[in-house]
Amino acid sequence: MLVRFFCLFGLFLFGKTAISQELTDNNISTSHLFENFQKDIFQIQTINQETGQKTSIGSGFSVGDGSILATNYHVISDVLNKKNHKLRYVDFQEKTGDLTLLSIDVINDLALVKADKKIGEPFALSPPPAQGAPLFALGNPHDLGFVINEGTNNGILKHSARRFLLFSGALNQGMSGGPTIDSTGKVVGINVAYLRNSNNISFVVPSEYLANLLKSPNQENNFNQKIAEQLFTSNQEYFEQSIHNKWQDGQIGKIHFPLAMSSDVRCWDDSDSENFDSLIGIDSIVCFNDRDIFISNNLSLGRVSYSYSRIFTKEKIPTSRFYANYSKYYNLLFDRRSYRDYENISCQSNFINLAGKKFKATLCEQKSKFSANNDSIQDLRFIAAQIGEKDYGLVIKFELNGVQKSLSRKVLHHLLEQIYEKNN
Amino acid sequence: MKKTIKICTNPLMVLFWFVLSNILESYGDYLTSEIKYYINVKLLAINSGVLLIISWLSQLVIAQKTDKKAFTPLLGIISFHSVLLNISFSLSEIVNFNFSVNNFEIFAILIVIISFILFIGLLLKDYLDKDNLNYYKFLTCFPAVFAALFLLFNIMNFFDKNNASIPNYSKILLEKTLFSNNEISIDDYLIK
Repeated sequence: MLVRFFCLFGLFLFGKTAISQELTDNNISTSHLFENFQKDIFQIQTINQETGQKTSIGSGFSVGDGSILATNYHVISDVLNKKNHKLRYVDFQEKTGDLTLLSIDVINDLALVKADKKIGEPFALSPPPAQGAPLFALGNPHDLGFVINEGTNNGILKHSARRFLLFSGALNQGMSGGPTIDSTGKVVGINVAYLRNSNNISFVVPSEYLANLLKSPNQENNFNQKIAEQLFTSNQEYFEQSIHNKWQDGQIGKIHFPLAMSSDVRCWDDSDSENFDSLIGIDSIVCFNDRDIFISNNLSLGRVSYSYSRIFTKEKIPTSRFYANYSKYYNLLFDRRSYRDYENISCQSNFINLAGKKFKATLCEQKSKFSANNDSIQDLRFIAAQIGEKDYGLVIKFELNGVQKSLSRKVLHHLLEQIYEKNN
Repeated sequence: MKKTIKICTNPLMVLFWFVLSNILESYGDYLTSEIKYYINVKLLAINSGVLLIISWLSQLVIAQKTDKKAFTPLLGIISFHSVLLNISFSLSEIVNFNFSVNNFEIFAILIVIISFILFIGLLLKDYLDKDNLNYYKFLTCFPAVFAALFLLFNIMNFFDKNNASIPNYSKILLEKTLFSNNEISIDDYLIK
């Protein structure tokens, strides 16, 4: 249930011709698109300079003065996360050239790279058309050559932390970073992801984010600092409402818990009702969001999840036996992080008072290398288990990935202060 | 001191400690089992096997220097310390839980190892002359100490490839705390 469905894919840009290539609404056809845009789509490769071979591919298209290519951040991330890697473009005639990374937007998965000369006609950007309008995704899937996939604009995603366009058309690996154009040939978005195990459910980054990035296309020097700043800002915006508002209310027994903190958080029943042999029963609610910020191939941030479980005995057993089993639920799972990106995990345990009851609580934090303003991005895990009852207990778990320390503790604090007992 | 080890080496006491060791292992397994519990024959066989094998390996060392059989007293001492280790672990859990500290079991293991070495030393005085006593004491203790150290390193996640990034906290829950007023507010816990 917690499995993330999104699959990111590589991109290839396609240099887009200018407005002169306008297509009329009544005369749109993929053959026209093919003819007009093939030469303006580029494949972007990350090259390991030790071997001279590519480690990832994607698509890109020309913007700005024609020497700048827009693509996805995840297409070029290897150049930031691996040593001795460089970027290269390949055009439709198989000509290649080196690229320099200009700027990134990890929150919206965008990047700008620059060639040493003008290599294509810049595409014009446009807001997305009305829902139901046809869109065309362009790119180089699986390194097989240029393709055009037609689909439909279904508007901005609802109940999601990501403001992607829902595109009901096929996107494939290698098309990441390619443009999605409307029937006039203007770019309305950038191909970014598809939903795995689905049919033609794909996602496109709206062009407004690319326009924002293009406002300051100057070359960055410290990309880690830039990533940290973007995460700080995005986290602050994402949790701003949540740390002040009351969350949706739910309950297990007499204890009330805060459920969805925002519209992108889904809560599910997670009770273990099928294990008939077990003497221990679980009533459980789990909530999680769909935020997923790609940083590198082994690091995605933004996930929030929390759960509330009532552990109880189905039959009368000694209290010591119940607590020996209850202890099994007192554990935290951390995502594996590399030493390059993260420090060691540090934990602190204590007895705390929640809703007038005594809990054993443990808070574990793992700081990352992404820091700014004397605060750093970290992972946080929290668990609290009620003690004192003979045959049942409540377990509260909370997980945050990639949030600054001060803010992550505020979110946790707000969650805990909303727990209360109410006798019906 | 020699009288002290009689509580381990007397044949009746050997049987007592051997049986008690198995009972405690079974009881620990019963506590953590979440299905209806009958006897765990496999666990009993493994625990008995470990005690017997370590005792046999230890007595092989003594057999090099004397014809006297030392298997039974060794089994008594090893079984006694197995019981001691079980009890020490349980006490450690109480300490870990109440004081929110980690791996207090390490001290329990170290104390049991020291006690074991002392007991073996006293035993060997009856079997070996003073020449090379320490050397043979080391060899005799080795199988049991090796097993205990393996347990110690396992607790410390020594065998995990990425041990430093494993969250380290007390994972035991008990019904009651030793002190009734040792809880703090979430403000103190998270903000201050």
